[in-house]
Amino acid sequence: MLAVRLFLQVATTLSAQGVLAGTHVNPIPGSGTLTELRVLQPVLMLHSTAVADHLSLHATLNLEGLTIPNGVLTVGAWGEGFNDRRHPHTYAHEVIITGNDLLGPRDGAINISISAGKGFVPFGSDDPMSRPALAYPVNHHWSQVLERAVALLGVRTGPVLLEAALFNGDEPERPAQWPRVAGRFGDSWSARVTAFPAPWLEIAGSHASVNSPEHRPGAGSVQQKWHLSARAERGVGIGQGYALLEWARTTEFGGFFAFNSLLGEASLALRGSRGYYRFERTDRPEESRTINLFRSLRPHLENTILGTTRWSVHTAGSRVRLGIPVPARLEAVVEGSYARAEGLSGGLFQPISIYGRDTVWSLTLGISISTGDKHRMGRYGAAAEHTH
Amino acid sequence: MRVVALSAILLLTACKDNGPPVVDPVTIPAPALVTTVPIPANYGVHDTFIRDGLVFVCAWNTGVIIYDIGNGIVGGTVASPKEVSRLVTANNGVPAGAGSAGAYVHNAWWFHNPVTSEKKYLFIGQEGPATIPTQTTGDIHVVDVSNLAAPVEVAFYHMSGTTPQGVHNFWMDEPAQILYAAYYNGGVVALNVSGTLTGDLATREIHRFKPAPTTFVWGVQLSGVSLYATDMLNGLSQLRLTGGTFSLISGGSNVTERYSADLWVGTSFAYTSTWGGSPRNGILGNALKIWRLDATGAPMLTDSIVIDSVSTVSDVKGSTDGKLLIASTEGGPRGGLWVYSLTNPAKPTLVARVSVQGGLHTAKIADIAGKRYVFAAKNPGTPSAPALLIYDVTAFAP
Repeated sequence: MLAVRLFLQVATTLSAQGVLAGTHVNPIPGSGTLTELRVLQPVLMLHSTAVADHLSLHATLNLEGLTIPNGVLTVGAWGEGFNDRRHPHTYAHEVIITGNDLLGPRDGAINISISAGKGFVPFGSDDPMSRPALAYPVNHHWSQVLERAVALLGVRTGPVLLEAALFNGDEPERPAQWPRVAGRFGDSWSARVTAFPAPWLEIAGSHASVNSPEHRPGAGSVQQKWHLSARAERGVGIGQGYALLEWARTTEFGGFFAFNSLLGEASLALRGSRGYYRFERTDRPEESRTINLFRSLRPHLENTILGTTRWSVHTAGSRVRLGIPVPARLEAVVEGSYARAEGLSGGLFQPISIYGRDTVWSLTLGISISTGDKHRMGRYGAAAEHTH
Repeated sequence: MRVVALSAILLLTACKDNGPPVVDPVTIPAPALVTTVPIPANYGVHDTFIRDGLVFVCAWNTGVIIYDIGNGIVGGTVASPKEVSRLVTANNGVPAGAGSAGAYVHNAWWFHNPVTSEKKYLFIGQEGPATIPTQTTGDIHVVDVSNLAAPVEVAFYHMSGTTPQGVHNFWMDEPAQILYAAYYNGGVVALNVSGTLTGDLATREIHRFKPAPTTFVWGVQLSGVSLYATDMLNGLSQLRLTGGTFSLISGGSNVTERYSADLWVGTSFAYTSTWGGSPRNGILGNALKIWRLDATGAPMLTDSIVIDSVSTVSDVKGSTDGKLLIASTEGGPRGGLWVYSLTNPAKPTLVARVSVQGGLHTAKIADIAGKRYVFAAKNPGTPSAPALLIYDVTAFAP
């Protein structure tokens, strides 16, 4: 009877976070400067396990649709119809049910898992929201594929993890939208192999074929995506260190369009404070903009771009824990970015013509509040077995 | 309590930056919408060609859709268009990649050959992937429409070159059996389309020409012996094809503050539009340019109409009697249709206007059964779908 009770026991962890942040950017499209106060990354996370950890639920509610419906000022950001602003994510950021270690002891030490729901596909690196910097990198759409209806198989044996998934290629068009399952689910796939040569080190390579990500009915091209990364997280002296190095490449139309990204970031946490630095060099496609220069035409009308801009962005910041006696973790955040934008291949879009110059900087001051232990988004089943 | 406080912060910091609605200083009437024909959201409808009671809808990867709007072949009318047939043209001529190539049907011209009295060929422009203004793709596809109910692709033209060059809008010298095609970074090409057309039409090329060393030609129109071309980078040029060779007669380097787009050439005036997918020198493509043509046909810029709250004035077209001018706009809250009287062709007067959610990509004007209509390509929007919109503008002719 006791064994049955333990088997049916449900363990649940809850966490929440949000950052009240003021961001100043100079210059913005059309030149000039802009300062805005927004609540960023307001999320509620739930992780439940049952049936002796054989069944789990990863759920993340993202409220950016309420707090940043028009995006947040972010140097070099693009995607989902936004430019120079990072778009809001969907409310249902992640709702994944997993059957974990399906064969139990019958397959020895191998862990085979199956996951399904809406969430991250096994491609690329972690969601920027769970990484040190507050500002998303320019390469968000080259290095992550998320908010899709996904069915995922994970196999972990020893120091090697294999993941493969089928999903719908279309990315969200608005925060309340669900993935288009009918006619789109299964039109895209991805696979990732991760090696764990040491408990603190992950080396991963992944590929994804994403059909018509920017046109929901499916008239767009297929993106072929590659990603390589090395991620380390370990104690360094009396602190905790973290580092990520990643390379990503996306092509369309057999290489007619090709976009590359190289990113490195590191952080060191010490006595409740954390300092971090990130550098990336990422190619950004430039699309026709509307009268609101922060926005691009959606849905697309054609397969034309106005050129490619290479963004070289330095971002540095610090989070310092505040000693205020509240039942949550309060941190002061200060973060700055400095970027140089370079027009490639003679396209019509030249940074100087839209920003007035080819350098952009931003400064963000904020207060972060969080509570509970967050799960590592995008790592399900066999992949969740090894998380930092 | 914490939830309440968080909600208050969310509301305080959520900000809409769409700006106030645009209000006209005076009331401008809207043209009557006759009908709306939904088009599959396969990127939707880009352009139309109207002739003999038929409208050829260029619907990207859905192909070309032929509607009867008074021809009688299947009993359609302007108010109730009926589909005659549709054809997805070949996807060669554009870069492929896994599953990515498409027909990309953008524009069309139904050739009525006065020499043979045939109405056999439909020319279709394929607008492939492009990086403006350096690389474009897409071929001319030739469809035999002898049997309108069962069109068949029979030929194609691919502009050769080391840099990819793709086709855009057409004009024809039908008596001379010459097809003129704007070819973006490839300039302008003239093709001999006499006789039977089959297979690769490379040998039919008469001449190709770049109005400027770096060029991006949007559209062409023949008027008299002059071929006018709008170059996004350089403005309006007057060309001439003589003895199988193009030459630049006048114009060029005459619009440099904005990117030029479409054109319409009348008897003594011409009109060009401007594109603003990216501001040029910080200026959007929100202008309609007015040109006076001198006795030799040379264009001289005389005036501009600036349309606020749009980023692009896409098509500009005139009626055959030269009394009405229409313009389609997109990229802002005033995207839609603008109708001008040309009582004074040097000073077009706005007589009708309608905003369309998502804007209009192109618009054409045609006279059918004693009435004047505009056939407009409505962009897809959220939540509205792409469509062919047909407006009755008869009442606005002076």
